[in-house]
Amino acid sequence: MYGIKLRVWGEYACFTRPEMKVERVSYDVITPSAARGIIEAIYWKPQIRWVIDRITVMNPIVFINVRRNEVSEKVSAQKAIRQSKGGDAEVFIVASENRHQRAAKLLRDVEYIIEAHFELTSESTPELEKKHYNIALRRMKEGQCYKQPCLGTREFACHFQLMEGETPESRNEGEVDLGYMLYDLEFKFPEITKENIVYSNDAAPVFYRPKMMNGVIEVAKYYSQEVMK
Amino acid sequence: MIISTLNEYYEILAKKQLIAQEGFREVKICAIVYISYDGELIDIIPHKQNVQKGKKMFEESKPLLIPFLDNPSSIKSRLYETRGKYIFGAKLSDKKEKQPQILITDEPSFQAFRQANLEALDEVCGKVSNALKAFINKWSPQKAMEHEKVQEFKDELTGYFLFAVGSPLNYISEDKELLSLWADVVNDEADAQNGRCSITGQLQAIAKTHDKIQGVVNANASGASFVSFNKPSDTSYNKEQGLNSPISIKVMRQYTKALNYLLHRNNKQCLTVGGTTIVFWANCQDATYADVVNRLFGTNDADNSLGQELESEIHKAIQLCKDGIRPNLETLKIQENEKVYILGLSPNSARISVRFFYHSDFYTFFNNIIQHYNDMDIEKQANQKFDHAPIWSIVNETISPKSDDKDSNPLLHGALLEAIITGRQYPQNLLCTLVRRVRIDSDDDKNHFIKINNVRIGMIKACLVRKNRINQIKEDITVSLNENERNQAYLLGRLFAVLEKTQQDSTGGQLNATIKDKYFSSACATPGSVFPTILKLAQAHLAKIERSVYLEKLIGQIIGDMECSFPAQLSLDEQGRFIIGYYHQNKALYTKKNNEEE
Repeated sequence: MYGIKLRVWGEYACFTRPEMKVERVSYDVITPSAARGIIEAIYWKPQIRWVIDRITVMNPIVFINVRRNEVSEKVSAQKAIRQSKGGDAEVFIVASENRHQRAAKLLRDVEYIIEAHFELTSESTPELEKKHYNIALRRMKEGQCYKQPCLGTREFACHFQLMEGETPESRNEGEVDLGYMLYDLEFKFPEITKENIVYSNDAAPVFYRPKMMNGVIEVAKYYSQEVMK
Repeated sequence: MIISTLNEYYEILAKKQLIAQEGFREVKICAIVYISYDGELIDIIPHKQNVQKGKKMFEESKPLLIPFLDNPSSIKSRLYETRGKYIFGAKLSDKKEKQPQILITDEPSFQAFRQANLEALDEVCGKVSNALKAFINKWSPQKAMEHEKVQEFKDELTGYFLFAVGSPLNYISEDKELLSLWADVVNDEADAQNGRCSITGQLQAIAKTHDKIQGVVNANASGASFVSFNKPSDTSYNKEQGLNSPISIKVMRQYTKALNYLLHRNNKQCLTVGGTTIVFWANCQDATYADVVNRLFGTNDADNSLGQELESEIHKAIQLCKDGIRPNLETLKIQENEKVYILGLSPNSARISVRFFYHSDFYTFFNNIIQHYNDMDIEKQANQKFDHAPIWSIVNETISPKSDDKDSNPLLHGALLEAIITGRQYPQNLLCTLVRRVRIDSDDDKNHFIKINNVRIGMIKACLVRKNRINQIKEDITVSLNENERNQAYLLGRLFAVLEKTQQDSTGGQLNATIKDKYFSSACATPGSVFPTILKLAQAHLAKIERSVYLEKLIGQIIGDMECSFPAQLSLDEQGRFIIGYYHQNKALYTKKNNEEE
């Protein structure tokens, strides 16, 4: 089992609560789902699956409020397909006609230390574990990524840095009960074979109930204790 | 966090029986529809009460606790229908120019009402249910047009009506048979999908739409939603409506009820600050914490109905906190580790957004407010209205007295409240706005408006003190005159006050307009250009005063304490210190004068 330690920081973050998605309210800390997303933006192959072990919240939790003008419509997938087949369809949204103001409660000045390891999926062979590990380590050291990692939503980009050695102490003290938080999304799909690759849009949220002790969240411990699908 | 704590609060309210049970709500009923046991419409009796709003008395529909659920937006009816146009099948015609609105039939609504109720009442045959069934069978929208009573109430058909049978009047909301049918309607989860509730963690029926919240200022009058997904861009993974944020029906009903309870002004746990509506609650069993919080925010009723004992206990606790000692909150009937929650809500047309959510133990919250009082502490002014200025009075000081628009900047309001509650930095432009107001406004005797009053100066001082504390700069800005202060701007402010006094004394105190009215603004911002002029004037004034020794000495002392020549400009912070210096010296001079006379 090969683990990595990544230091992630940014000016703003929004880990949206599912129950308050429209007028966005962020969770207090990063979700394992978002942490996985950051690491996957740096290195991911279908042969591996990242699992988050521990999250350390370095900075105190500060919220701010903003209001943004967004678009209210989505481009219809059917229209896009029709147009790609040569048909006639409008595949655009006129932003000025579809305005929709949404408030958002964001986190300010966040910094996390994410400890994670990866597991091989069924498509891989055990000898290649070391290879994946070294590639991931190199990419994190050199700051390479496939796409810019982000803190919850894409407009809040983050910086990352490989961490070696002891994890520094967090500025948070005491025990904080974070309530039920999103662990990740679980996708349901029928049997996949090499011949018919199926893309699933059927996602169900999985929740877990973490406690933060002096800024450290033992994700692995809480997830295995209460697996809630 | 927010919904789960509201959920917990609901359980406490339910235990104390302060909240209506599942499926019931207090609704404003405008009239009672009196029918006979065989379904004939006997009378429509108005159900009003006189309510005082401000200085006038208004007639309003009286509220009544009845079985009630939110009405869907399409033409659909159910048991315990209360809407006029469904019950009678008649409504007012659309508003058109130069034509009065008349009563017209509304067949689809009546049919929906008829069908839903006949279906629900199919199995039962109690006297009241039979009367209701008979009425539905005998009535038609045509009858509504002819019946004189319905014509009388044609303007109120958009209100809520309740049926009653027999004499004395039995409201159908109290009939046991109908109530048992109601329980089934409330728990009807026919087309609800099961899913994992994100609040309780259990597998339950998920609410598709959330009940409306009423009471948030400037939101939709009929209520706004806390959680709603009505635009395509809000949904994800092809999930519709409430399935996007899985919350079980039970939790949904509970948290919306709790929030509606908090927003009810009668329960005194709600205040409006600018465009934000703020509710607060604690999981206490006792209601005294609400009084304490209201007292701290200054939102008590005018008659100040706090008991003598509670008032003195609060006073004692405030004193202890000011001296830096932790008071024993049990004297205020608050448990040691009690947590207080403060939620700030802001409307966005038919939705509600969360502006802030603050939670901590009561002592920290108490301490932060006392810290704010301490920061604002400044020497008292004659005719001072409040011991501790409430938030609305601070915000009022940021509005120009001459402007027509009496609304303050709503962002400022919310940010100020947040700063007070959390103990963090005051909003940046508060200092700027207050200094600007002090410089620009002019005294107005007619409206009893003084431009340099204790609220403004206190708040300027608070901004500076807090900034210093957060940035860990050691500086002592005192409550009253500090003669050892060597800060340039402070000394300049003091000097200005003395020079103004000199001018007043030279004419025997008869002047209407002194150098304060003419030169204050420029002296504050650009002392280098103004002070030489007014010092020269002061020499002329001093010559006219008989016993000018004291004033001359004072001027000499202040100028001696100054290090170098008058600075060309003062920064914003420095201008704040100038104003404080002026205020301190002014108060000191005039009290001393009174002492001398005595």
